[in-house]
Amino acid sequence: MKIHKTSPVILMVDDDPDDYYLTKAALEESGAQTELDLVADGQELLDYLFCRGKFVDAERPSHPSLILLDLNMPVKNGKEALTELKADPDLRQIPVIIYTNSTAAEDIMSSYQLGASSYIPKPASFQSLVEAMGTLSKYWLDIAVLPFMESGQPPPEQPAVS
Amino acid sequence: MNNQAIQHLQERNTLLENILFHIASPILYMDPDFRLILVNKAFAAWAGHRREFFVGKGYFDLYPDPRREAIFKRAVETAERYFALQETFPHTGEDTYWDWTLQPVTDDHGTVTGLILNLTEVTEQKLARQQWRHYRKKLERSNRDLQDFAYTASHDLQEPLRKVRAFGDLLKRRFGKTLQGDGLDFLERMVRAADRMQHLIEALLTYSRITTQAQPFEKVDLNETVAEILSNLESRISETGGRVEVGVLPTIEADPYQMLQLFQNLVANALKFHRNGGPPLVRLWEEPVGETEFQPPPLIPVDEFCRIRVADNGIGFDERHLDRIFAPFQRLHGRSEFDGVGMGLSICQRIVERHQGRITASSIKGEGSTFTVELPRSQPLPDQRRSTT
Repeated sequence: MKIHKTSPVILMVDDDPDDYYLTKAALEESGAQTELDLVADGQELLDYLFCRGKFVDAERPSHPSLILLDLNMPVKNGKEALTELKADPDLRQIPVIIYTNSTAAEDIMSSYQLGASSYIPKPASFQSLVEAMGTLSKYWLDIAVLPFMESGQPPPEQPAVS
Repeated sequence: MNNQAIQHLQERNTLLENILFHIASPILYMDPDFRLILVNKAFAAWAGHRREFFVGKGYFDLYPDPRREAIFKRAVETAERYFALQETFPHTGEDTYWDWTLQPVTDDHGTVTGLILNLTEVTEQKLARQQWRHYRKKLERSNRDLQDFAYTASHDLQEPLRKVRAFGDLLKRRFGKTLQGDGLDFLERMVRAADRMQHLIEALLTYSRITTQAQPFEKVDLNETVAEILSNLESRISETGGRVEVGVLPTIEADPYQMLQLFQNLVANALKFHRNGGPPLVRLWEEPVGETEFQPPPLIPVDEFCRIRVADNGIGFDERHLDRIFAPFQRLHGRSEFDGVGMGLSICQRIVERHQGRITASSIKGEGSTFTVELPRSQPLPDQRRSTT
């Protein structure tokens, strides 16, 4: 039985709990109405999405609204996870935002080639992190329409605005 | 012919034979069918036989070698000299190396009547060269390791530092008001120190990227480069009320981004170190490279260089500190006077060095500085560029 949540869920994939803590704090400071979940690497991400492994009995929707994916992680890195995710006909709809320390041109290009929706280098100061998270949540959760807005369900059909 | 003439000829013959006999280089003379007619002492000694042993024998019967036989045959046909470097011969053993010449001897009609084979030992040179190559490889490898180390170290240092700054910020935001006494001041000092460290590491990264993340050389119109720089620095120029005058600049073969870095650093420096008296005036122009003390690197002649000057009317510096201004993390001024980590000119110098050029400076304290950049217009050498992430 899955519990319906009222706010959208952003899933962060990062092996660094400090970064999770800071990102969560920045989201709170920015006033964004969202939950931030954490998984530690690419393998856990796929387990989370497919409700298997340690997430087999998870009482939550399997599809987050948005994924913040680090690239450099143990077990299964960001690019490997992204490749697998984008190969799944169901999961490929979830926008994936690469959220990493790397600013290497090669990482940026290959991430977009693999289907990332955006690429954000982790900001250096907390202030810029708050601004980045504010903008990110405003754009993705308020302005954009996502395939899984809340409770893991597809968005209701709405009349097109001309 | 009288006796005296005969005696004279004989003496002369003996003299020539003696010279040939005693010459230290192995020499032999053979007919156009490669039958040995004469070998000198050195040749016989290296081959391990008495001289008489060789006479009348075929060279390739003694030392079969199809490749050289073809060369010898061609020399007989064409009457052209053949020259080869650093080879081994069976008659000298495999552990010695020889430069050798095959000189055809012709008669009045141009027909080859004989061949002189002349060997010069170059074993020492060969070994020295091998050793030199070995050391060069080793040096290149250790340089590369050092660069990689600097890059990785500075890259990895950023990570924990980012946390220190971010949690410092967070602490200040959430608990700044509740900190007692000097608490907030201490916290701010910590955050400022971390900020500064961040700038230092970034500068170090930029410095190491000059070689580790370099782009290939291409044609760069420096007029376009400087136009971009002026637009990048627009706000700083207007803030200082300064003016930048740009002459016609050349197009050269270079790394476009590094040219931007180089001249932007120089112009930004010129704006930064201005005098309180008046607005900064920065001038850039190209000047012919005349006869100078400038020693160009090998393969690039002096007239292949262009010289660009960047002059300002700023505070200048004491020329005694000339060496220091290009050294990493060196600053001539207190941090309260001028901001910065002291890497700008080191980065400039490293970029210029990668382009086989030279950067120098001259100054009169209180009147201004002139930086002179000399760069090759084209890059003849393959660039030892590498890329890492």
